[in-house]
Amino acid sequence: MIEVAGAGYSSGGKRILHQLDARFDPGKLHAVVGPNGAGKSTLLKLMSGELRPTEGEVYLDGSRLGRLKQRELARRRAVLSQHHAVSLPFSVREVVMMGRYPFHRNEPSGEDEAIVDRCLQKTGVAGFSESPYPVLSGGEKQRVQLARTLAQLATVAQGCFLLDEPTAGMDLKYQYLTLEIARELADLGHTVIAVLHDLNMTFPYADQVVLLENGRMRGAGTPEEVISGEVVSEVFGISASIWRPPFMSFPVILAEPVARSGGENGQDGALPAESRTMPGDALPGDRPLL
Amino acid sequence: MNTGTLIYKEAAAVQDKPRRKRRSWGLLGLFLFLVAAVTVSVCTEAVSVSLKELLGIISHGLGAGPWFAFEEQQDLVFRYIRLPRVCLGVLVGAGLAVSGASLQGLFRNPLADPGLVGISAGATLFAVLVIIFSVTFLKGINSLLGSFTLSLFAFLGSCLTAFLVYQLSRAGGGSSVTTMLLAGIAINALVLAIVGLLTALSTDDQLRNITFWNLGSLGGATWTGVLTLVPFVAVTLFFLPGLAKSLNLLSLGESQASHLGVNLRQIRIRVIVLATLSVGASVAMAGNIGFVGLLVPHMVRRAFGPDHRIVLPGSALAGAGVLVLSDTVARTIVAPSELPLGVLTALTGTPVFIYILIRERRRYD
Repeated sequence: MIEVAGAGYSSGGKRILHQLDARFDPGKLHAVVGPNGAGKSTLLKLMSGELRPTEGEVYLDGSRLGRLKQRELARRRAVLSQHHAVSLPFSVREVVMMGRYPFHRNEPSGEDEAIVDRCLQKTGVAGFSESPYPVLSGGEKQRVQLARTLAQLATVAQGCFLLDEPTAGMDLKYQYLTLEIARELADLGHTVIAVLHDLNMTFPYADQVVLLENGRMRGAGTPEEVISGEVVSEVFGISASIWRPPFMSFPVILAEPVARSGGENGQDGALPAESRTMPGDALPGDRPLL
Repeated sequence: MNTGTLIYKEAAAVQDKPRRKRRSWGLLGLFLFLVAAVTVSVCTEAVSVSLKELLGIISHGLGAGPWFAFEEQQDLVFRYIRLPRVCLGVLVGAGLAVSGASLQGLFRNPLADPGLVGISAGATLFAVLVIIFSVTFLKGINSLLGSFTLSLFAFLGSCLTAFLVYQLSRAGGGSSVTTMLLAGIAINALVLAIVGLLTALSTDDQLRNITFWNLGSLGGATWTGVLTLVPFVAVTLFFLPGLAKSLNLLSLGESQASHLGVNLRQIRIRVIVLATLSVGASVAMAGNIGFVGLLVPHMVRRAFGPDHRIVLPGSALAGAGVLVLSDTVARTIVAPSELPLGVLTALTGTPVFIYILIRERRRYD
């Protein structure tokens, strides 16, 4: 469980994240959403301990994050970040094994090997486990890093997974597979916090959503509570609405292409005209491109 | 919902751990290479010694009575010239190579050679300062520490430069190859200038000592020198391999490494202090022998992969062997005169440096 108690972050005189209170309970998948630069990654870094909050505190399982040792932290929370370069040509298998490093002294145990095998299979990278990591494609690298993150907390009960855009660079199949895995982790009792860009992923998978805007919390609650056509239109500056297809058990967000909104195409689109709320001044579509 | 862990404990198919086995064989191979290099070196040239005579000398020295006949002169050459020289070569080679390997891990950059990035130059500068000023200012310290003074100050110089270059290379956020190499150029140029200045101010006797550093050599090997170097290199060799796992994690990036439990501040200080202990003391004893710290780890990574658990000990063994062999070549190839060892290592090292540089540029562009 992670508790953010009035934590904020400023850098170079600029307030990146305003004081924020939030509780991330175990057994749930929490999605952090918001436009670029809203402070999502910063919030995640405050919770991972990579950044110290300039005000307020962050607690991991009741203890102040700053008090915990790196090694202790490594045994309780795993982080999947957006940076995936590995400077040496390690094999895929060894990269995943690095997730087990906090748990063995010098050489991996048989259990560590077994865990790595399972994680490689789980993210669909077992087929090239002996390939050097640097030759992989972006999406494959992302899956290897996900496997490493899984391996890190494989023997931990109630760990914390912090995933910064876990689906970035993945094809559709693996985007869903990744969120299935995240869901499974939450169901096992872990605290899972994922920065997500695709709002449509929140409805089927997330229990809780935190919506950030300009470094402030705009809303928190279940996806249905937080995400509405109005809010999305306002926060993201696009024309969006919620659609509840009769053949699906959860709603979807539909966004209209900005340049076309208000034109003749807008009349016969899938969106009911009245649900289209758009702040006209925020739209770049009115202006010529150059 | 029940167990709370994603991966259940399975009866782990007991793997044969071929990786670890390969690692042990690799290290054994490198060790044999080192033994061969040492043997060749002590037997070659000037007063040549056959393998049989060598065994005779060794058995005699151990008090077992000579198993084979040898000449008095061979024994003396072996004891007071060859053996200290080979020992110095082993220590310097092992120290430089393992330091290079660990610095490359820390800088996340295969070009971080102690010579190239100015760490050896920092050692040279401090050593030269000691020689110039020891007569006047440092007499007190000098008598206290004896022959260690030079090595200690050289260590201090290289340690300070290493921290400086490290900070500079990270200044732009993330480690930059270009900044690191440019910082190295700047420091090397600065040291060259200061040493030039000091040369003009120094006496003849000091001058002879100073010029010795510009091109490294094992020619001045004495037992005192070897014994001074032993503790420095021993500390490095003993503690650095323990940092192998952390250095592996650093290849994922600094923040990822810290997420996996690496204390970044601590590892920086440890690697730099341990590496420069060897580099500084080696420079004090044998001068600037360039490219060993670049060439050897590169070869070891090529042969055994990037895992620091083999790269660090492997580089130490290979570095010792390579340096002893190079020294053998250096003192025989233009006999009766002697080629400075630094010339030879630079000749072989530069092409490798350029090769890595091109490969790295391709990767970063």
